[in-house]
Amino acid sequence: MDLGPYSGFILASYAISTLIVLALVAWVVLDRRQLERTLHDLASKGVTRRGPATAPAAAKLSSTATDTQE
Amino acid sequence: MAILDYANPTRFLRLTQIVLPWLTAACLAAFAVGLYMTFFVSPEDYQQGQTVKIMYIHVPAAWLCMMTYSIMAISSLGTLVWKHPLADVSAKAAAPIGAAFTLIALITGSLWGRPMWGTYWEWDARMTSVLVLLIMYLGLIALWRTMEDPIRAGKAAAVLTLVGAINLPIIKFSVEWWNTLHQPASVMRMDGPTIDTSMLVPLFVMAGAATLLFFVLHLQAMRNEILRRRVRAMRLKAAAGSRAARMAPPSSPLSSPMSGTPGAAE
Repeated sequence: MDLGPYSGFILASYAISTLIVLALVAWVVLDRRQLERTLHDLASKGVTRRGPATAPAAAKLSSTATDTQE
Repeated sequence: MAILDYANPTRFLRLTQIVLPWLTAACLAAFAVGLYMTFFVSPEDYQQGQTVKIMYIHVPAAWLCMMTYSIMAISSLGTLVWKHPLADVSAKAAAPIGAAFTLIALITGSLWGRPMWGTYWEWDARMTSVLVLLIMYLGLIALWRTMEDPIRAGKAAAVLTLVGAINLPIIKFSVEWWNTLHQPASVMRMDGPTIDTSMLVPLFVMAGAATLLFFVLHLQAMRNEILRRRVRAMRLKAAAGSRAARMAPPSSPLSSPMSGTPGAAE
């Protein structure tokens, strides 16, 4: 396959696009892993989404250093 | 099943868990076929030579950066008019993906422009309006990150998104309204495409693959956003429980029900 005199431009286009897509995929996958880990940590400390707010869970929560960005 | 049934985030998570592996497989297969056709089947252009291969990545990215913003605009209507629970989730999840596709369109366009036009960049209407689109995406991402409450942020972003939608027809028709380096539309025309079928087929396959990629990333990013809001809700509830337990005097009847467990206050 001969890409001609402008092969550098063609290959650079595909290489940069691939890098941007891979960065996007990595962001989505790593974000999901982090969120699932945080949810698991919270659940293991007794924090639930429903039901009354409980102080013990909050006390344990303060030890959770993991932060998820909005 | 009524459309509003899909508004339930738990049901959405369950459905997308089933759909996503299939979409991902279809996306990978489409890219494999598209890239094969791009590099081994599609012919050289009689004027541009092999640089026409940049078209198979540039044009789908350009289409998708506009499609993504259109989806965000529809989602914003869903937020403001119908108050659909997943509408602002959809808009927020789509913004980084749209920004990435816009960046790809700008960079590949620049790399295509240098050998064909003799310049990486020209402040012509099409390129400038796409750059404005990228800035709008970045502004919306920044807005969502500045406001802590996702509901309030979603409403503010929805208004801004709808105002910014005016840029979409400007991008689309810029090549007709102004004299630019870009050629007029050659695929989406009332009288049919002017590109030869041997190039049109790989272009459509690559566009299909990129569209599938968008949906895979968008659905997964929406799932992430739902999980993020659950994390936030759980932390807020735990913090509220902690605050109530601290503030209520030991003899107060409030301390017991709010703290949940006897002796839980500090």
